[in-house]
Amino acid sequence: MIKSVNKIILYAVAFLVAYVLLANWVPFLNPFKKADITIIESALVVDEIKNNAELFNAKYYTELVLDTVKYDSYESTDFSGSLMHLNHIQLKDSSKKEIVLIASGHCYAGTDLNQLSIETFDDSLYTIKVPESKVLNTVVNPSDFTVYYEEGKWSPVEINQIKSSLRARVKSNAISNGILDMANSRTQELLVNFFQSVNPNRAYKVEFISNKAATNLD
Amino acid sequence: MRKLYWICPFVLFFNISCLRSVSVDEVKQKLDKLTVLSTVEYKLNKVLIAEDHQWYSIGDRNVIIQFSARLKAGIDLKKITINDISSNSISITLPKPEIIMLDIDPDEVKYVYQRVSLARSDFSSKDLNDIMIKGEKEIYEKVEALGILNEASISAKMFLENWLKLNGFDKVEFKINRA
Repeated sequence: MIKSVNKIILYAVAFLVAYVLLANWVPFLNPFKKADITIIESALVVDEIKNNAELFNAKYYTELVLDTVKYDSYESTDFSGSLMHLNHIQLKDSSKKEIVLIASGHCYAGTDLNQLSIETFDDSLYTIKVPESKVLNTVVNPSDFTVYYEEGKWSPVEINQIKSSLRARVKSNAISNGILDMANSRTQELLVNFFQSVNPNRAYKVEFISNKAATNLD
Repeated sequence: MRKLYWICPFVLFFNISCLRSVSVDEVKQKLDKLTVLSTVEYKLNKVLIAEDHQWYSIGDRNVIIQFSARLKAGIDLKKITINDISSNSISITLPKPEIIMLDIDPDEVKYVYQRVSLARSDFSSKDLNDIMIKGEKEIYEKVEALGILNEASISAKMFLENWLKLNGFDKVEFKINRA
């Protein structure tokens, strides 16, 4: 009798272990699995369509780890009867909160070809005039962020501010690493190659106009 | 209680001096060349309605997030091929248009509504970011339906035609490489 009970227990344990292992590989079999957050289908609205002609010719990629520590002041502490009260000083308690974000960001630089113009005086040399390169876009999307560590209550607005500061950081790093110089030399190379491939008998040179001057031309 | 007054100056100093500290470490960086001509830009609006029900907890959590995104598409100039060229006509093959970038600016993300049952904890920053990631994926999935790639191709043709006509070509013929 005891032997058969032991056997049943052994089989039951073996079955359970096998099920748990299987559920690990096939989440569908796991009844205790944390359910995913459901997103209700909603429309994607096109707000604006713009035709442009931006030449993207340099890309900077960076990975950053941002550790932000903040001390939030909340409830006032009653210091009535204390020296602080005599000076009309009200103190607040503070609580520490910390968040560590890992972000990968892209910064794109290039030039606006809508403002390109070609000039020549004697047909021997053609001058391509284009605006100087500028940062066209800095991209750090939600999928580029990883919340590595979070302590305390962070409001979504505070998180957005941190994310915005990270974007600004990606852009400034890209500029300090020479993205604009690289974009300018690429513009020169690409435009001369393109125009010479369609007009091999002509000689071309590129002249950059400052972005301020290019804006005034608009 | 009076014995504790000596702490006050330190508490005051602590409150003033340690409001916020930020440290940034660069793990990796790389500068690359590109040759892409962006010909169209879409500004998109999306409302994300997220619901979180779990079997192990009482009550649920809901959040509505509204955000804008910018999507740019165009062609890779390196992949343009010239098929035929004569004194006043040119035939070129344009590559298949592609999405250059999708940009979701954190400043354009608004948390419109949040409701959390008493028995549940608030959405963490990770939860909210995960919801936004789902929204970002949805945009990529709907790119085809938006027709942005078709628009990018038409716009690229128009732009290059003008350019080539300025360079003395009267007749410009385009072929699109669908591969």
